[in-house]
Amino acid sequence: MAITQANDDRHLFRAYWDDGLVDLLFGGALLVTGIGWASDLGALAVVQAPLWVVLWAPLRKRFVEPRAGYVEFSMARRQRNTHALRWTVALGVGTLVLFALVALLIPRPVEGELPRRLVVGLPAMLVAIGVALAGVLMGAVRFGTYALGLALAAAFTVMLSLAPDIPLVAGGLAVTGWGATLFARFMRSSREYEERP
Amino acid sequence: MAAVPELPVIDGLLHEPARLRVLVLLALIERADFMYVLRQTGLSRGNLSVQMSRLEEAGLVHVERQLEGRRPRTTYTLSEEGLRCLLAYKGTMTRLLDLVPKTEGPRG
Repeated sequence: MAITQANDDRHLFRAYWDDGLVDLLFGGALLVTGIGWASDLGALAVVQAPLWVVLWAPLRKRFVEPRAGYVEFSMARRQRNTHALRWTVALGVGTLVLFALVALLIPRPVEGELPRRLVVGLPAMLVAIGVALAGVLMGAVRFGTYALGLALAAAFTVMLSLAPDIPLVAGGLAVTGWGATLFARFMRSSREYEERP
Repeated sequence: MAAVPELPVIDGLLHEPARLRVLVLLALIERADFMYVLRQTGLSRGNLSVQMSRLEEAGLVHVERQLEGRRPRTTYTLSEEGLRCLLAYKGTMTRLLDLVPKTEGPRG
């Protein structure tokens, strides 16, 4: 026998991400990418981003698990996550390919202001799409808010003809700040649990 | 006078709020350690410890004790018997509550 109802553990899975660690790491990656871009180290800045993903598991084990506890979700949940992750990666890669095709199809030299202005908002918009998909995968509503913020920042970047690194730095600061708030809240509630009889 | 329906017998081991919370939680996941169960159920350490012992003795929960590096870790899994009892309890309570009259207001 097995529990097979699809969404019974949804609230547990959503709570699994509430400690703020993933926000801190994502915000840090975004911030370093933006700063690196602003310092003309664009390629290096992008390359470092996946390193933050690798940090998540050991940091969670060291700081979160002793306080939140250890859990393995059901096989049904893990299968749904794998399925959702495949779709997320496919949509993300598809979006990148689409933008690359659009960029290739724009005739050169670029005539007029509009295409060049749109390009400055592209990095933040791509990140916004990725963040939205990650939010769907984790069931974390706040990632939808991050995505919306980044999309708006991308739009402002285009309208005001700002540098493409500015929305990344601003987004990185905002997400890191909120992640730090969540993490502090988690640590405080954990101390309260430890002090309970 | 209408015949009094035979009331189903409730499993006393499951019909206890703390144990029921633990069993339902374990039914939703694969495995968890004491701290996770403690935080998700909101029980006190002492109460949870007692309840986990009762459930382990009754064979409703499997307990696995391992070493993670140098640190001991105890994890809990709902056993097949535990799942069977939980589903039976759910059926019993559903049948019992179905006996409650649907209409509101004075009887008779």
